[in-house]
Amino acid sequence: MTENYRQKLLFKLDQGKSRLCVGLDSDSQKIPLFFGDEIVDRVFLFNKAIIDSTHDLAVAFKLNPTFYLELGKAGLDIIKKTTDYIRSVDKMMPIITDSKLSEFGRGGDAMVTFYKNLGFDALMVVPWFGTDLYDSLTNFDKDLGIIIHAHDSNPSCVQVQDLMTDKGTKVYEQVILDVINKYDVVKQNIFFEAPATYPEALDRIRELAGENEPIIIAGIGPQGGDIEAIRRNAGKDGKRIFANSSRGIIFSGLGSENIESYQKLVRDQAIAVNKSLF
Amino acid sequence: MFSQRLNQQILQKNSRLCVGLDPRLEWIPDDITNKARKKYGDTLKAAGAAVLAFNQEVIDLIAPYVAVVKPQIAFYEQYGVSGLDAFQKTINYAKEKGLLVVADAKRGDIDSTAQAYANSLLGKTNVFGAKKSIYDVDCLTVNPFLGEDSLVPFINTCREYGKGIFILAKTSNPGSKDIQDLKVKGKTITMLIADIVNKYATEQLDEFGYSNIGVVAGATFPKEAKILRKKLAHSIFLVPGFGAQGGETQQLKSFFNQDGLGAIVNASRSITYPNGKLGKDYKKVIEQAVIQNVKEINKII
Repeated sequence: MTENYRQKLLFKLDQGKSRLCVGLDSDSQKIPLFFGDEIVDRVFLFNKAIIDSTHDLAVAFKLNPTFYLELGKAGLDIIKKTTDYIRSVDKMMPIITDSKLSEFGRGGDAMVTFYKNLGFDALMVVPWFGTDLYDSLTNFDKDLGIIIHAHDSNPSCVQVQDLMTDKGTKVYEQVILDVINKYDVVKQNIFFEAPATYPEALDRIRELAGENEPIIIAGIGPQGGDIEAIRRNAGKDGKRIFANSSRGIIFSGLGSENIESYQKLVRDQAIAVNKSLF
Repeated sequence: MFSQRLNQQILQKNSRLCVGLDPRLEWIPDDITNKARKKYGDTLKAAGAAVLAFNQEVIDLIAPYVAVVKPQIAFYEQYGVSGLDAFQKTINYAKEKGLLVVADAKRGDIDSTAQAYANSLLGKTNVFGAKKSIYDVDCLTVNPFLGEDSLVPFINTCREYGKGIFILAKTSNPGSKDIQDLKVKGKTITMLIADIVNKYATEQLDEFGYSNIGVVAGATFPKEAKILRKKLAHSIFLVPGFGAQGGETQQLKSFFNQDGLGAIVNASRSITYPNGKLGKDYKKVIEQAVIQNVKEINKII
């Protein structure tokens, strides 16, 4: 039997050594040519190099499918090869897709099938459609991790998510309350994302989710998130939080001349980012 | 621009129906699936080939009667690369037959990610200095939950390439009340989104007075549609939830403007699989369904 997302993630977090999720937002435009002559090979070999130099420092990997789907069908092959590779290196490594899914019903089932086949353990969802979305996702696949974006990290998300409703709760709080009131998040593999760029929202999401729930953080690095807010919301034994860093790590090797020196810079950066999160 | 082309087609064909192309392998006629399985075995490739062959048949049947089709990307992605291949070829085929294509992908993401989605679906992707069209659909559905800056990359791409978007203002599912109906100082989130949309939907209008920036308004919520219609005079509404999801014809009135334009009503299953699994007479069944639905919607015009 293979472990599900929750089991894999807790296994990693419980080691207490890392709070880092490495985001493979592998923008083909930015990848140095020395990674490979042909674009599809180049993107995969880039991912492989990043995975090789960071997997022992990370609690999870996250792939943003957009950067791959932009390459059309070849992008799908790269995603699959990448998740296969991660699994071959460390079968307990959780792999998340930053898919921002908002399909439900039969369309949601189809989407889940798609991402499962690509090798993902968990997917991120945008809650705009309400709880119908989680109903169909949790019914379709009990092992799949569903990570709910109640409050994002971008500037304009407050135009919707931070609005104070006439019930006296903010929209993002209501999203989480709807989930908590309706589901057993542990049994149904539901998780929350929280933004380091909005420390108050992060505090509140931790409060609502409880100390024992793993929270994935967005918005560190270039987005300038509040690291202190991450530390104070680390949860039970300081082992229930982890932050995604993408560009800030995977492109930290730019300027180097070959794969080896690129990898060294990436590894140093991953160590530094992880350290900063404690 | 998108709205202009759509409105011209609507008037020319006197049709306000949008046909959803949501392939379900299990309902496609055996003749078509067997052919694909014979050629490729029981593989994803066969699935993709069957989906494409079926879609081409459907497009041939419906093209005289409708202006626009809406493939939902999830139904294609589930078959992996072969599914996306079928998605791409379905889009190309529909365009060859003079149909407009709305990709139902419900994208909602931030800055560079949103831009990448906009590139692959609506605009062009930069591949080593050369700009290449990938899917090149006419219009896309977009999720507004991340606020205005998640919409702007799509809006800019629409402006540059003369494409359109439908922003999910009020979806047709019952659970849409959970978030979209939350009230802020007496106003629902749906209406607050509409205020944002309207800023952009008044910028550039076609000869009929419509914008490339439209909204999704579920057929199941005619009251909301009435208010949205007043607020967003220049936006075209994409109306899901008619037919299979139980929306009624008379209620569709509030989605249209006085000029008989301003909305396209989507029907998927009720056109392509009106009775579930299709039999040998599927061509007749689909053609009848499309003619009947076009007529039904036109009753209220």
